Amino acid sequence: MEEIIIKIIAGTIATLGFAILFRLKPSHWAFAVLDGLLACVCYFAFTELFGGNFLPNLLAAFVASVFADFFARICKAPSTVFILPGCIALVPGGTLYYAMSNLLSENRDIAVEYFLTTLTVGIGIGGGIIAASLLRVTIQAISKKIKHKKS
Amino acid sequence: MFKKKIKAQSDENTLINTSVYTADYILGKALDIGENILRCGGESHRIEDTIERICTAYGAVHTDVFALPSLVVAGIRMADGTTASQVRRVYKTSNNMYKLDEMNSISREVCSGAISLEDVEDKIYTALHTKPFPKYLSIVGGIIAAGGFAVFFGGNLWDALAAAIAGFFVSVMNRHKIKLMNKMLYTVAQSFVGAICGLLLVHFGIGQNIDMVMIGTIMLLIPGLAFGNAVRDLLFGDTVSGIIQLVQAVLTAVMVAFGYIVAIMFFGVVF
Repeated sequence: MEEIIIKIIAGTIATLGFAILFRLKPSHWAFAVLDGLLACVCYFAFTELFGGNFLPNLLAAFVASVFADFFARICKAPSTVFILPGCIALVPGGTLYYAMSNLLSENRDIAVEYFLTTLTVGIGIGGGIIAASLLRVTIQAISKKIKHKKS
Repeated sequence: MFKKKIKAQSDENTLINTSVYTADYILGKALDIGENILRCGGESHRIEDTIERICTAYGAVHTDVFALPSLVVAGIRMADGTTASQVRRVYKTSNNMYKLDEMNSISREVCSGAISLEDVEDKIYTALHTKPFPKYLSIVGGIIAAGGFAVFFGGNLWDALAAAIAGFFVSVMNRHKIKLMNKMLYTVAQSFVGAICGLLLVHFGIGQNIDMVMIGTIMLLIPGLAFGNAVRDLLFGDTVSGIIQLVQAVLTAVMVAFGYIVAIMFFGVVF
């Protein structure tokens, strides 16, 4: 448990680093870091719950994107501004490295496995982001209809 | 009452008085904004949406836009039958959320009529030439990110320190790019420098797990969320742009891997 908390803190700090690297406005940093924290917490929580690689990443990316949309609405900025740093902690840098190093030491089976894991995580993150944007589009369409009916 | 009437008339005139602008002029200004959104790492559908909105607000009855990660093609037809079509080629894209944000607000103001088309150029110029924070802070960002990820993937504080030092060199290289160098080859050079730094630091006792130090610096180099973005574009229906981004992401990852492999081999020969 202690280890996970340290990891969450480290992931949040790294999110701040990427918020600076992506040149966010200083007034947006707090929201981006909050989004990264949410993504990390969700990732570890869903890993405990479901295990595996695909589902935890998908759900964490989904939650982070939904909140990124929400923050974007508050700050009147495009949602990408918060999605990019928010989801960065989920990016499979570790598995990519292990795939490479195993390829180098000719453990091909392990290398392929790590590479496929990288692919799975990537698809999971993309799926999570798209699910969140579908949710936004649906909510917008419904609220527009309600307004139309009222007027 | 008379004043009100005049105000209403002038309001109408500022927005939809299309006779003032030619189709080429409107499309050119819309593309200026769209091109800059693409340069700052905006998605294809955002660019298409922006250009279509601006052109429609200034009286285009028909707008066709197609955006790729390196190209924007657009054509419009006005109510009086005149047409215009323009192409923009974009060579370099990077993730700059500050500029993306500014361009987005400019396009929103243009659509609502808050700023006129003549002012767009000045607005874009000021957005491109103001910096949200001093330059050296982005190097600090690289250091924090590399150190943080070294711990995030299971390293200790010494690993974080080593990754931060390697991250410093990588982000300095990011800051001062050699202009003539091919982008892919530059990624190889960056990952080579990052790996050599990590290997040297671990060799001399700063940092204990080479894996964690390497992963910390790798996170700076792998194309951020390009892979996730590519999948999103594919699922969103922008198939061509998604495939291009996917290929770019995979190629960059291969280049990063190549730089690391060369560094490890080089290190193995020297030490």
